[in-house]
Amino acid sequence: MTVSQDAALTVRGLHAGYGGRTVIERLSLPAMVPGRLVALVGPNAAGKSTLLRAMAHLVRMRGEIRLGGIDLARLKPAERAATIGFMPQSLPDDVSLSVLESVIAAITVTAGGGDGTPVAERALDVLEDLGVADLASRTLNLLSGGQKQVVSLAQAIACAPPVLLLDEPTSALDPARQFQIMCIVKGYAVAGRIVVAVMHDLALAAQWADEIVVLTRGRLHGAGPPADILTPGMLAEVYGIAARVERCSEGRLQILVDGVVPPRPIRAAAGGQIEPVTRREFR
Amino acid sequence: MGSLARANAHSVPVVLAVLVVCVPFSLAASWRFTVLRLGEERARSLGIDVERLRTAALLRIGLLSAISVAFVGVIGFVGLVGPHIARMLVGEDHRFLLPASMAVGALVMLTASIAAKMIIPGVLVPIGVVTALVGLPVFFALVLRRQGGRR
Ligand SMILES: Nc1ncnc2c1ncn2[C@@H]1O[C@H](COP(=O)(O)OP(=O)(O)OP(=O)(O)O)[C@@H](O)[C@H]1O
Ligand SMILES: [Mg+2]
Repeated sequence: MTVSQDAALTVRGLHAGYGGRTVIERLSLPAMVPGRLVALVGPNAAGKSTLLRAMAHLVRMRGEIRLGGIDLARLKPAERAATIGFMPQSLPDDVSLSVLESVIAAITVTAGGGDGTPVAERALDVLEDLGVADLASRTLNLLSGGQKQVVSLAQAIACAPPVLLLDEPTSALDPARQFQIMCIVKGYAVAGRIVVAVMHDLALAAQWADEIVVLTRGRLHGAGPPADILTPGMLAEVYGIAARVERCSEGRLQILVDGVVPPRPIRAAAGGQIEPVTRREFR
Repeated sequence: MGSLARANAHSVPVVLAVLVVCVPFSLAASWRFTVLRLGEERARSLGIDVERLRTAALLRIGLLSAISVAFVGVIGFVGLVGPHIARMLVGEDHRFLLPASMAVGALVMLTASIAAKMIIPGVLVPIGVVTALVGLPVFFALVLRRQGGRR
């Protein structure tokens, strides 16, 4: 199977869910193209993780997900694994496996992607790139939350798949690590990969993403460049917050949350403005 | 309670045959078992058919336990304690964990067998009694430790 260099990832008419429960309904997304970092945002339980799982064929789903001319549902599991790298939102606890072993295992079970370099060496390279080579011989159950997250990313990208689906890759990281990992993730996109990352930190998304896709209750709310998407109106509608979006001197977007908007604003119905519940009322 | 006194030379070739059939499949699946420990989602995203892996493993487990119980009766806790000790010794890389579990399991059986002959002089205590005496406390220790770790 060959994926052409500029094949886009497209999602059309997607339904996905668990057991009898449908979380995502008739969702179509703008094409995700190589070279552009896509941030997937939305409130808790909006279905972001479910969407990512559906794109990796890990949940019950129906609809069309294509990579260029290829229908991903038609691929064999091994081919799909070599095409899509998936980073889950969390790693299991209590695993007495070393960091290096875990990455070696991830590379070994995935067919393809080999260039003759010994697997252990490739695994170490991956850890080195992510700046965690010093953790190689530590066992997973002894890592901190942030260290775990970076190792989980290492497992996902170990086979250098052309598509990367990352579920909150930096949510547990300190500012320095966050910057470092976002640099690397952006680098994957710039190198010609399709990268989709779920993010809750909107300022971080604004700083790094080329596109932002907003999901609410399993539906698409909007998609586009950060500056177009991150508006006070969207923040009020999607998150129910009263917030200002400001540009600092270098032009970077800042989001300042002032309070929450009541879910069903009574005063707004009377023709007035939506009155935010301000911080002061919580004191 | 199971007892090794029931075993005889005829049972050895049968057990051996079942082992020869089962063990290579288990060893061949060792990388997949290792990755399964990284989470079911991760395993599936790496192309592993988790349901098939589990079903096949359960079939082998069923066959192996059935054949042992058929020849020596129920000898509890060995299958529980053996792999746990092995895990503490070699970690969870299943290339090492599977053989280590077999070795530790055999060692536990041998030790229990010797103990069974020595506890009451002149009397052969059923080995199942010995493994239960040792295994039950270990079992509770494992359960308690796990709960402690989760707090
Ligand atoms: N394994 C599961 N089985 C059943 N329902 C699930 C499962 N995982 C998630 N859900 C449900 O699907 C909905 C969407 O969950 P999902 O995990 O996709 O949200 P999310 O957008 O990733 O949220 P968060 O920002 O909190 O991670 C939720 O209502 C949740 O209860
Ligand atoms: Mg999620």
